[in-house]
This record gives sequence, C-alpha cells and structure tokens, in this order.
Amino acid sequence: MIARVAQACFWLHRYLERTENAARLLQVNQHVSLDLELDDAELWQPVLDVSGEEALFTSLYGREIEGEEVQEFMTWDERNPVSLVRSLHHARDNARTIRETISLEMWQALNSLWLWLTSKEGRKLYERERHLFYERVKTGCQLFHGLYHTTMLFDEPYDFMRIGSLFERADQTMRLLGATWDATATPARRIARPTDAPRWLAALRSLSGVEPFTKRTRGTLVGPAVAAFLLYDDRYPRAVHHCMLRAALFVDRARGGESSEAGARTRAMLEGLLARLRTSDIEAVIERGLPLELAELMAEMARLSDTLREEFFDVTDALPRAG
Amino acid sequence: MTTTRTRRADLFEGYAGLSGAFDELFDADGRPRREAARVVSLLNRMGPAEFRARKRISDLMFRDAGVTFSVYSDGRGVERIFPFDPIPRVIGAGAWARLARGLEQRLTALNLYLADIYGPQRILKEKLIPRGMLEASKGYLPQMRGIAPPGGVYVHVAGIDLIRGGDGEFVVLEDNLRTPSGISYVLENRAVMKRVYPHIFRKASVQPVDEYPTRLREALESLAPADPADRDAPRTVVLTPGPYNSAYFEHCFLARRMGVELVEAGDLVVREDKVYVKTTRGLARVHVIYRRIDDAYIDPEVFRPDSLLGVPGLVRAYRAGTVTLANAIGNGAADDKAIYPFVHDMIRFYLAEEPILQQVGTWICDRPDECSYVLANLRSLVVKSVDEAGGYGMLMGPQATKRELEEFTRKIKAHPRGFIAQPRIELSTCPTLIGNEVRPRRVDFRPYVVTGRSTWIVPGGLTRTALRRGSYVVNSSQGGGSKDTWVLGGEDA
Repeated sequence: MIARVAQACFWLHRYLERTENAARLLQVNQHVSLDLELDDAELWQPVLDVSGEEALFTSLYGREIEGEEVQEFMTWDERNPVSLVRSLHHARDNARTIRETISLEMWQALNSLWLWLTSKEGRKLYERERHLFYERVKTGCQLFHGLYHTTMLFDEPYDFMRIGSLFERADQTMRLLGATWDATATPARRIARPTDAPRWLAALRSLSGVEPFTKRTRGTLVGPAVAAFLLYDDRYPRAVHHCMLRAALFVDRARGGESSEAGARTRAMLEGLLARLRTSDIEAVIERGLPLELAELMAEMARLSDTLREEFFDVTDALPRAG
Repeated sequence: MTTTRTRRADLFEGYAGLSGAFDELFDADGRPRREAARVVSLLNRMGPAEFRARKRISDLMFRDAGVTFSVYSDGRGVERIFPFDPIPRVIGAGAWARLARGLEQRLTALNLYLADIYGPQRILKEKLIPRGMLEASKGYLPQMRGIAPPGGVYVHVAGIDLIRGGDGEFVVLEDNLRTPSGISYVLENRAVMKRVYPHIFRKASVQPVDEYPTRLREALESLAPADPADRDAPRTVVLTPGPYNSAYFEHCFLARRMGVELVEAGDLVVREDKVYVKTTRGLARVHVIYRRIDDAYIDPEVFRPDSLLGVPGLVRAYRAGTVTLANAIGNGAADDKAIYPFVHDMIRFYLAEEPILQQVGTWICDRPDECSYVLANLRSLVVKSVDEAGGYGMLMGPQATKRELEEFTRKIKAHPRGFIAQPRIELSTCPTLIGNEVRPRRVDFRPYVVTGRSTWIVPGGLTRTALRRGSYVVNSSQGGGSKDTWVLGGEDA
C-alpha cells in the first residue's frame, strides 16, 4: 500500500487509542476521590504524571494542582499535545487524509464523535454529568473500533491500524504503571499505605483490568503483582507483553510473511523486546528499580516506532527489481 | 382533488413561479409539467410537515457523512456542508435524449479541436480561429504540441454548464474540460434521496447514476499503456493536491468508489521515464493517473519550477507514452471563455454538422468593435473575466452599482483580451424549500461526460440552486446549494 497512507493508518489509531485512554483515566480518577481522603494535588498529580506534560501544565495554570484545572487541561486544552480534544483532533485529521481507505462507517463514527465533542452539547454534558461525558467519549471510540473490525478489508491498512493501537496501548499501560508506582511504593518505604490498594484498583479499573487481574493472578492487590500482570501477562489485552505479541503478528502480515525481507529490522527489534518481556522476573526487576525498567522499555518502544517508520513509511527511491 | 385531501395542505399549495422564467416543475398556468406530474403528485401526497421532517434527517446525513467543501478565508480552509434542497429537478426522457446527443456532439468537436491545435493546427490555417486568440489563452500550452495522448482522447471527463432560458431550451453557458468537480455531490445527493424518500423514489422511475465511478475507471483503463511485465497492470490512481483542496472530499470519494488509491504528488516519483508510487514494500509502477491537480502544478520540470506540488518528470513520462493522464494537459485552450464563442464553428468545421445545443451569444472584448458595444451597453450585459471561475471576476450589469460599472470599464479598457460579455439570460427556476415555504429559486445544470474508447453521459447531473431570493448566483462558494436531478426513464425518448 501507499507508504503515506500506511503512516496515517498507524497514527489515526494511535491517536484514537490515546483519546480513549485519556477518557478512561479521567473518568476513573473522578471516582477515586469517593473512596479516598486525598487532597486535590494527591489525587490529580498521577494524571499529570501519566500525561508527561506536567511542566506545560505548571506554566499554563501555575504550580498549585487543582482538580478542575487538571481536567480542563487534560480534556479541553488544545495547547496540551496529549489532551483528549487534541488527540481526537489529530485522529480526525489523519482520517481525513485517508478517507478513501477507512470505511465510510468508521469515518461517520469518528466525525460524529468529533462534531459532538466540539459542540455546545459536549461541553454541556461535561459540566453537568462528567462521568457520562467520558462514557460518551469512550463509547464513541469503541464504536469506531468495532466498526473497524467489521467493515475494513483484512488487509495492509488494517495491519498498520492494529500496530498503531497496540504500540499506543503498551505505552499507555507503562505510563500508568509508572505513575501509580510513584504514587504508592517509594523506594524508601516498602510498606503499603492504606491508600495504595485503592490506587492500584483505580489503575486497573481505568484499564478495564480488575476482573482479568483477579482471574489471572488470584493475587492480592499490591504493586508487584499488578506490575507483573500489566507488563508480562500474555493474554490480558492491555498488558505490554500481549500487545507486543499481537503487534508481531501484524508486522509479519504487513511485511508479506515471516520470511519477507521487508521490515526485517522492525521484526528483529520486536523479537528482542518480546524475549525480554517473556523472561523477566518481577522480583529482580523491582530490585533493580521498576522506574528504570519502564524507562528502558519505553525507550525501546520509541526506537521500535522509529524503525517501523524508516522501514515502511520513509520509502527510498530504489527501483523494484525485475521479475 | 378530493375534500379529504385538501384538509391537509399540499406541499406545493400556492406555489407560483417567477414571471419570465421557465419553471422546471410547473408551467406558466401553475399546472405540473407533463414529465413532472407524477413526482409532483407523489411529493404532494406526503404533505409538507412530513416532507420537512425528512429534510431535517437529510441534513443530518450530510453532516455526519462529512460531505463538505472547503472555503478559504484568511488563508485557513473551513469545511462547509453543501446545502441540499430535497425537491428534485425532473428531466423527461425525451428532453434528456436530445440533450445527451447535443453534449456528445459538442465534446467530440472540442476533443478534435484540442488534437488539432496541439497537432497540425488546421483550424488556424483555415483562419476560423485567429492564431493570436489561441496564443493569448493562458490555458494553451505550446510545450504539449506533438504529444498524442492515448486513443487521441484529451477530455476524459467534462462538466458542461447549462442553463434554461425562458423558452425552456437548454443553453450551454460554459465548458469545463480540465478538472470539473461536483460529481460526488450528484452521487451523494442521490444516495440521501433514496434513503430519505424511498417510497417516492421507488415509484418515480428515475434513471440510476451510481455506475459513474466504475464507468469512469473502465473508460480510463481502456486507454492505459500496455505493460505485460506487471501483473497488477493497469494500476490507476487519483492524484489530489491534498486535504486542503476545496474538492478534497470528492477526490476521496472517487478513489474509494473507483476502488483505486488516492495519492498526493509526493507519493509519486518518475524513474527512467516511468511513473512509480511509493508503497510500504518499495516502488510500484503507475499506468493511469486521474489527476485533480491543475496543469500549472503538475510537473515543476516543465511548468512551475517553484512548485512543490507536482511530480518532477511526469511530462517526460507522458511524452514517452508510459502513463495516461486524465484529463490531458493543455485542455484549458478549449474551455477558455474567449474560445467559447467559436465552438459552433468547430462543430461545423470538424464534424460538418449543425450544432444541436444552443449557446449564449458572446461579445469578445478583444475585438475593437465588439468592445465598444460592450462598453456602451455595460448596464444590460453580464461581463466575465476569461481567467476566473466560481462566479468571481464577474459583473452583473443590471444589478451593478455605479462604482462597479466604472471599475469594469477601466479594467476592460486596460486589458480587453481578459473579458467577454453576454446578455443576461433568465435562469430557469425550480421549487425549493426555504424555511417552511416552497419558493422558486434559480438553478443551473452540469451534466458529466466520460470519454474512453467511447463516450458515456451519466443520466443526471449537478443542479445547483441559488438560495437567496432573486439571486442568479448558484456557486457553492457564494452560498448556493444543490438538489438531486431526476432523469426519468420511459418510452417518449
């Protein structure tokens, strides 16, 4: 397929995944305050940590962290590169450049969501019934996802969309894991605080992971158990390991089979990442420092993304070989 | 009409056309025209309340589908919905057949004209068209002389703008032979009409327009260069300037419906005089390009070295015959407003036939005696700049202010070649839903002619409608809307 179009497929789904994840995180964080006695800063700091845009927030809204301001920043602020509205804007812009590739229903679902979000209706629901507002954003994204599985040709554009979703999902899981880890167990104090379990519960909830966690681990809700689950589980759809396993499948399809020469470096890097995820031991990782492990994994993911771009999107001018 | 029926108002109750204008659905006595009678009665039976409710559904459908065009103000494109009016225009089978014959004749002559001026130039040698007139045309590209396009076809897709004068006769107002747009609205309008008014549609025996994209692809691929080495040949693409172009929606729509890929110039490269597209697995050969980029921006090697939009080397490949371009480069020499007055002469010269379709009498300001007539009668004429489209650069004499008249007098004197003048033609009207009322609004009509190894005319076309009372301006960029055009099937062809 056309390289530029493949790139837009990839980014469309990355941005849409990011939109949905922002809605999930903000929706769940609302409710953490019902279970916990936390002040605004304690409650909303982790959300800024996940976004990676705390410095921008501080420069725009000041040092003091107020819940309403964080939500405004993360939902509506177009100046914030990872705000919900900006992510959806990017998703729609990418979709607009490949309207002939995505199905009509996908475009309509995305366009309706965008029109609603940016209308008075969207803002009104946000003011009046915030939980429902985020629910509406989530279901809008989910409708799009459902349609893409049921209306797209099972072909190259589909593959790049899947890869985009999976990369973004793995990235988000790691960000959330890191932020929750920071907000709970500090290296100096390994004994759990009473707020820790509710925080882990909230983290899992925003990843739709509470029940899968219970089924897969039967463990108690403590940091190491959740970390192991979110990183290494091979069946939970938002675990990094699972995301990379699926990504490998779609990268192979996009390459035109396992033995194809196209995208060989991408495939090799992915294999390396998978080996690391398959063989890591959570106790040892925590001993060395979970934040360090996450930083390395995320750097690895970034390199993987770059390599994918070089191999599939930045096409050289070499003529095809005869035959 | 029965008493039970009159209790509920009819949609068209109290409708009156404009005096002097031909109405598409009703005759001068307010009776439905014979060809429109069935449609009018079906619409009446629905009742105005139901009709308006359905109109709101159609508005939502257009919005959600993102059927938009872009307008430019302060350098930023804004997406707008093309306003849609749900009352169809109806053309009877007989009138359509005559019109289609006239269009085919006109296009055949225009195509022969292009082959002539980029070839032997017989028409100049016979002095039917002054050489100076051709050479002054911005659309004439002498670099294209001697390149014979595959099958001799220059105008693969034409959009001919027609109006109907007071007598109801179709008259050609303008030929669009470069990259005419609007067909996507024809198809979208039809899709919405079918979904919103299915019961009316089912009974009206309307000819389908849906085959357009496949017919276009077949026509273009019938002219593809042979490439036995490539299993995927011919590979056809639609070339767009990108998402900021006002017709981008249409480019996507056509690529999707034709089942081909939509590319931007940056996706294409020329190597060894062949065109390739950059894919995720390397370069792949392209054989047919339905390009929606203007001539000036198509190849910086030949036309605009400063352009970042084009595909360097594309003209070399075209000259080498390895790629089919639709439409051909240089067609602007035939749809120039200053060349328009000569089309009837072309039909007689190349085909030895009498023209079937009328066209508007035109004064060419480049001719001194015609220019002085125009200047003396500015108040009763319509003056058009030959290089502008979309209703821009136009003077409507009867409605112009004193300042506008003075401004145009100055402009015409300074650059007579740049202007033509025509009498103001009464545009026909069609009933249009304005708020809660049905009112007459002026319309024009653009049918589409597709030419490959043979010519095909889609039975339908774009009816654009002025939405303001009394207005003659139907352009979407200036607040016009559109409606579906129903060409009826039937025996009286």
